[in-house]
Amino acid sequence: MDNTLLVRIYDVGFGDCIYVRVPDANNYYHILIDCGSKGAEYTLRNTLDNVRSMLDNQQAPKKRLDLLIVTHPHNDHIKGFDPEWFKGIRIKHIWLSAFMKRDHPQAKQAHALQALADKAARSLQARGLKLSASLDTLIVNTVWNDEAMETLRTTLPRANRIKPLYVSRDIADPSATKKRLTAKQRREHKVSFKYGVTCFQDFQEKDTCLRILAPEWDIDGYYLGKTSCDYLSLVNMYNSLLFEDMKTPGEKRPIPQPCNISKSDFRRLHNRILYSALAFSREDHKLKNNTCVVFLLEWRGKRLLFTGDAEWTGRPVKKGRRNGCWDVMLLMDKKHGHLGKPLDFLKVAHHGSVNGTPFIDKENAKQTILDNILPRGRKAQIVVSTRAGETRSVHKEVPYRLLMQNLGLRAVNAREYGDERGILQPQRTDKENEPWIDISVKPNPRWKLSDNSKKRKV
Amino acid sequence: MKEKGVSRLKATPEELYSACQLLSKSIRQELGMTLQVTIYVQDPLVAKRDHSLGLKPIGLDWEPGLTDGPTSPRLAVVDYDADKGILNDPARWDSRKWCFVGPSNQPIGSSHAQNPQFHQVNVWAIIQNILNFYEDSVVMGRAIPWAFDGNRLIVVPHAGYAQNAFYDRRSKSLQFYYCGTTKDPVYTCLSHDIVAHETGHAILDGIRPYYNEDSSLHTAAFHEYIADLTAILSTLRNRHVRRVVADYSGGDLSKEDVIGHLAEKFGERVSKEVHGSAARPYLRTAHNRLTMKHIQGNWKPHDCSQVLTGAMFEILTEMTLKLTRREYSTKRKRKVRSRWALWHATDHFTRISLRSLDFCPPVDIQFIDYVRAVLQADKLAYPKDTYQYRDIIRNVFHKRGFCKKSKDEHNRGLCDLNPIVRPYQIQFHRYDIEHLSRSRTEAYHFLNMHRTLLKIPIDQDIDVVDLYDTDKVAEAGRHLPREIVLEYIWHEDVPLQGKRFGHLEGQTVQLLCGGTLVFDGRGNVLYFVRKPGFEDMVERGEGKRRRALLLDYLAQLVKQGMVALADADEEEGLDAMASPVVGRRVGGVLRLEATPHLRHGGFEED
Repeated sequence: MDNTLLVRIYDVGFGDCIYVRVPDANNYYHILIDCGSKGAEYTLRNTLDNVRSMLDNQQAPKKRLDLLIVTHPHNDHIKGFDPEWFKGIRIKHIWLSAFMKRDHPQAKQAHALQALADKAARSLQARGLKLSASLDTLIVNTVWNDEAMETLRTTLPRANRIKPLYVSRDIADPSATKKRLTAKQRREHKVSFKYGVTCFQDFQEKDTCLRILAPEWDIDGYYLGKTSCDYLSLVNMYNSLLFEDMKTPGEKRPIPQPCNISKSDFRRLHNRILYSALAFSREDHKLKNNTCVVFLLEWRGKRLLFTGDAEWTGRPVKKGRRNGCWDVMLLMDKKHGHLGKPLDFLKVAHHGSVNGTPFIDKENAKQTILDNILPRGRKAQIVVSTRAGETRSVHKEVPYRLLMQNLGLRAVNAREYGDERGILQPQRTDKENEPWIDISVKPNPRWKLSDNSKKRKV
Repeated sequence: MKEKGVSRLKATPEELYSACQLLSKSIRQELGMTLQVTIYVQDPLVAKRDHSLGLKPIGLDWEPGLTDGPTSPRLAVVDYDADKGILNDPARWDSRKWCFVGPSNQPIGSSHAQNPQFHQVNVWAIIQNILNFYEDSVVMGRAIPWAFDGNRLIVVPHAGYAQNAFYDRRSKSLQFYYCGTTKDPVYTCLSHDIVAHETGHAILDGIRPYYNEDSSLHTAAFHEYIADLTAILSTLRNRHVRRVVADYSGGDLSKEDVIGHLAEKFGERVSKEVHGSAARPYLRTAHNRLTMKHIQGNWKPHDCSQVLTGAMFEILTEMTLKLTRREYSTKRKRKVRSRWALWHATDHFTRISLRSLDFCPPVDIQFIDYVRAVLQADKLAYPKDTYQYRDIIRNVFHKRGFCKKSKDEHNRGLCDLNPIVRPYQIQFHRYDIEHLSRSRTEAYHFLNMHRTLLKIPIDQDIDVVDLYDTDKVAEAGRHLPREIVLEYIWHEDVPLQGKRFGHLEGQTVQLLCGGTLVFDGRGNVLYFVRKPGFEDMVERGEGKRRRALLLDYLAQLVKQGMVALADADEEEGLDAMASPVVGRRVGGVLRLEATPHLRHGGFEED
């Protein structure tokens, strides 16, 4: 058995699909993080075939996947969850973001916004408009992928006789006023609350641990912002006639034509007037990114951070404000400092967008955050799952060039790509010309096998 | 009315219209060449507080082609709600009743204020009224063009659900949104202030299209200022509102709270959401004491514009007060006195504050350019300065910090407000003004002949962006000399180098250069203002200063994440809609355009 941890980041176009193989005593522990893409489905099928080949046989012909993590419900992270593709796989644990919990009492308003944004986006789709690439991405990501969500919430858990865990940093916090998990549920899901975060310890090796750093359970309070003030208005809008022109999925309703202006003038006007729908989509897009699951994997003295599409604003956190995922995470981490120490691996958040990493280029931002987790002297392995030219964030190109340069100086696996000579960048899925990037992580030489080989009772 | 007028003369309205300009307003009314429309003369919240400032009829000139929508030669109302995906029935023009009617064929009036058709007529009438006001010989004395291809501005009274309203050149439209709940909706198309403000943007864009290019903070702020000024003057122009304000304030506008505060109902709604209470029940106010020092380091155009708006409102206040005090000696009653003073001051103020646009440069306007233009407009319209308003104007501009102190002995300690180039300093070769004013190509030949004198670099291709003449009147209907206005521009490339330009690094922007020449009918130069480039050998210093200012401004925009990138052919895009400024790549260079950006009140920033 190989003694190195493997992180395989697939090139799925614009999206995420990451497989992690963790050596655990004499076995491997298999983790799949997200499976989605903006692009064609056949890419995902090939990817999943490869993931399947990496899994251990449980009881032939079934393979074993120990943990499936869905960071957030954007299509470029969940599109691949077709039950057919998972038929031959036995899944032990499924984690979904707390935002995805249907009856979440502290995400009511967020769900109202999401429902309205979904309705608006479907309405736009039904009108068959020609949209720019960035708008198209936004709309596609806003529309709730019912099939994938049904697969993740119901079909896969039922097929594997398990219940999904809707995770947050404080999901297992026993001191919370309203307990989110009973003792039995904590045991069932192998989670406990240690050092200010929920820890997952389904590993045989005692020191291997998966710490959930984000999101917070209180979605409305931390991530929604002023929308909460206008909650009644949101509900009112949902119930009123707004965006009602979408009858059934796929049905295209003709757009009425005024008789006092020309068709070309009205077409131009119509394309520029999609104002509210876009505003909702934009808010919903940020909400989903900010509530994504961020976790730290600690294995044999090594620290690996998986950030999903977490966004960063660089502003002080305030309840009732639309805070960024990173901002809340850094605040909550102040006491225990999980993010105060260097990392050995970083999956760069949000496909290398400028708002995905605590980066110097923001006003009032301090370099210290990045220096803490990726100090220049001690180089870590850094990977960006992205596709240049596919989309743009509000103000900057994706991936953001200056961020790539900055991370390139901190990455041990930095590359100088052919079309961008002279610039060191972290490894990028879109530049490698390979279907995936493999990152091998060896145990820390200081990690003492004798002390840590004590196995947990399984 | 029609029975008495047009039919009595056995002439069609079209036949009479050709002679319309020769007829006085009262005769036009007598002949039925006008129509009465009921509108909100102020904000609906003000109307709620004071019924005398609610729905009132106004008179508008009839024009050929007036039809359903309403649709008139320069405006077309399209009531399409994109969020609901519906097209509301248009208000129909009934030529027999000589008014707009709703779906039930009833004339649209104050009892139909909740109907979409009333909203359509309200928004159309306000915009039409403002356009007529600008084109009147009391103000610009010429037809105002739109900045887009075509001559009809599209007006959308219920574009969708949002806390916003905006002018969008790319879709040739003014879009008004609504917000709130079904029980308490807030329609921006009903707020006179908001409608007038957005119309002001559209009109200024037509008069000076290059101000839409975001070349400096002052240029962006100037757009907001003119929009706010349009809202204030549009309200003050209404005789009814003016009387109420004069009676209430007794001629001291610093005591009034109707015209100086803008968009009360909408502002109350936003204030409630942001602060939890109606702490500031208006969107902006002209009652302020802000100076240029107060906004140092503030890069928001709306905030910056308030200094100029505040200064101009203070000038109006001082003018009114001066006249009111002057009238103390007369035996007129207090009410009559203050009403007359407000009317007279408003009339004077309108002429100088809006006519000055003709004396502004075609590009990159700074507040000081406008300040000088105001004084020039005042000198031309009121050469005698009977009421000594010029001292008021100078003092206010000086107090607000718009200009440096003069080194001139006569004006020591006061603002240096003389034009940079004195007209008599320019000695052109002999030319025929009629020849020059004939076409833009003729004007180009004139400019080309005088490149050295006008300090236009020899290698730059000049674009004559506008050439027009005006027909303005002074007090008592006295015609002012015809003015011929010639505007020209050229561009100089400025590469963006350095990390401070972030994602724009490596791109090339353009420094807009040019000038405005104003001649009288005999060819004398009345005014000349120019924006030099840095390639000019003589004025290189000023050009370099302008280039440095442009680069600093861009670096600030980048630092605040306010610039998005878009391609020239991108018809719509999230970036373009979400950022205050969009850098559009056209022919290898970046053109910075101000955009109508997302301001989804409760959703945007906290």
